[in-house]
Amino acid sequence: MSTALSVPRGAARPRARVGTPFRSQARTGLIMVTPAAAFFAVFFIYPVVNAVWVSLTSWDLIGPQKFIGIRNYVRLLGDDDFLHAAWVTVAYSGSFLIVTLPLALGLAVALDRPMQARGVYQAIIFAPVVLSMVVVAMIWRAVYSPVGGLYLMFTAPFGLTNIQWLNREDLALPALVVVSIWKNVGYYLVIFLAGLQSIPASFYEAARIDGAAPSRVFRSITLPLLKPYILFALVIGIIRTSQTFSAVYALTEGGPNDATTVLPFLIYQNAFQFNRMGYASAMAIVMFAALLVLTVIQFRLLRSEAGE
Amino acid sequence: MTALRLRHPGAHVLLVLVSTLMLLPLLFMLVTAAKVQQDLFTKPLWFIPAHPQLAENIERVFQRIPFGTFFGNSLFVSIVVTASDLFFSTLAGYALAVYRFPGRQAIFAVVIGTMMVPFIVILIPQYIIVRDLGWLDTYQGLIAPFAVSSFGIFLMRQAFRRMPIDLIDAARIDGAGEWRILFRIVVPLNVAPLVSLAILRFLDEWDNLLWPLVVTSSEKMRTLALGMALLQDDRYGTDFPMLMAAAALAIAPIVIAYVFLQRYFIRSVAGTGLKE
Repeated sequence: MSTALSVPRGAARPRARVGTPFRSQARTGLIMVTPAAAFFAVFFIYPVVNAVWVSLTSWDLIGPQKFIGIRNYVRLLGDDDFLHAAWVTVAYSGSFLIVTLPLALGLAVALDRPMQARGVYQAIIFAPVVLSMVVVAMIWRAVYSPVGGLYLMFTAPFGLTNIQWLNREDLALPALVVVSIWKNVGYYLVIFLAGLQSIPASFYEAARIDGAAPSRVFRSITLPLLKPYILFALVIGIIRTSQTFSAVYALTEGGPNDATTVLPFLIYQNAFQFNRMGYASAMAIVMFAALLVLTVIQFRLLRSEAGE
Repeated sequence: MTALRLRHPGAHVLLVLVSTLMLLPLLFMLVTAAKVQQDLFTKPLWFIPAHPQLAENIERVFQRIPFGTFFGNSLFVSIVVTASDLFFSTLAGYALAVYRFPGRQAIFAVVIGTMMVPFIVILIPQYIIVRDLGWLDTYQGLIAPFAVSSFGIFLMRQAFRRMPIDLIDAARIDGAGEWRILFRIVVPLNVAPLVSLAILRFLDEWDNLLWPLVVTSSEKMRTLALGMALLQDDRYGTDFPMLMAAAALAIAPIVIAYVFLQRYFIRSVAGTGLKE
């Protein structure tokens, strides 16, 4: 056993050695993994392949499926609805992340110390994360209600009343972003807090002894060491926000006049309201490809950071 | 008096401010749920009638929709999905972490790969599969695509890899079978990641709107998220006292669970996906 203990964990050595023969263990492993593997073959691999196939066809789900090559993709490039939805998705993701990540980071820094009521603050700010998005949207519809809505608490003192938050093209998207921030800031806060707690206290101690100002400590110690967590939050944030459906469906139904029609909502509409399965699939594949490219770039950044 | 002095006043100011903003909409929901609709137009925001109408508004929710059916559907589907994912992810995660067998690398690569695929991409093909199986508008149809998650397999594999292999070897020397080792020794040592997975999967499924929207058609198969979304769509869309009563009812079980288990809820987010 002493040799076994000296081998670093995770090193490549056969994990099955003692007791039952190797082959029997391999069989046990295969038996254990088979249900999941079969499931993935049917419900993930086949659907991904099929999505590509459907995107090359014209199909209303009931009639015959007609192969049309890349015509759906060609059409996409000139489709104003698609380009508009892509823009709305980017605007939604971008404005959400620009506000949420710094806010979550600020809250995490404020919470990263022994202080009174620390657990209470964290529990309250995180609470909306566990709530159902549809119900959150219901609550915010009441908040945004032009007459008698909670928003009046903040605007009425300035004489602004009867604001049609969800019915004005210029206000609907910002209103949606505010709901998302309220719902999700706690999620990013918890990620950043985990990152802050991974920074050794001795670093701060040394900076304190050297008499560094708090802003200097933040720039020279906290931010650089938190970089992997910030990039992780960015990757996750882009993936999550670009897939937003429930918030849009429940709060604005894509309106007014498509001002909040994000890509997943447009894809849903094309597939299940207009029965354009091929066209909807092509949109989904393009969105997937764009996300993949973005994610690869970000992971490259992450790796080069880690390699420094 | 020193005991009462607040350390870090600046941090407290920020945190009190944000916490208040987080709580205001929830308080507003409760206050609105106690009003009659006319109060919205004529009374101050935080007005509560002398006779709060909460019970009456809840009663109107039950008259309007089969709330119990929606709630039961969500509970049933979420519990089955969570239990199924815990079981199969444990098996697959353990096999991928501990055993060597042909195709192991390929299967793990597929697991990682599918984590990247947005649900909207496979929505249409999954719908076709469920339709061809004759499972539209059934519990099987609601559950099937979520019965195992790549996230669950990944999470459990990472957890099992962190375990000392000598523990398993020692059990083998004692003559324990492989399945016995997994369920009697390994699983009890990995309750924490299993709880995290259970919380995340349950909340995800509870919140799922797009899939139920697509595969269910009859009212009796609707989940709570879908039922709530459709409730506010129709001509009752501005009956906020009734809608807020429904919202309060819908979130009450999750909020109660959160109050008691918030440490685990927060840990499930903090501890997953961050570690390599």
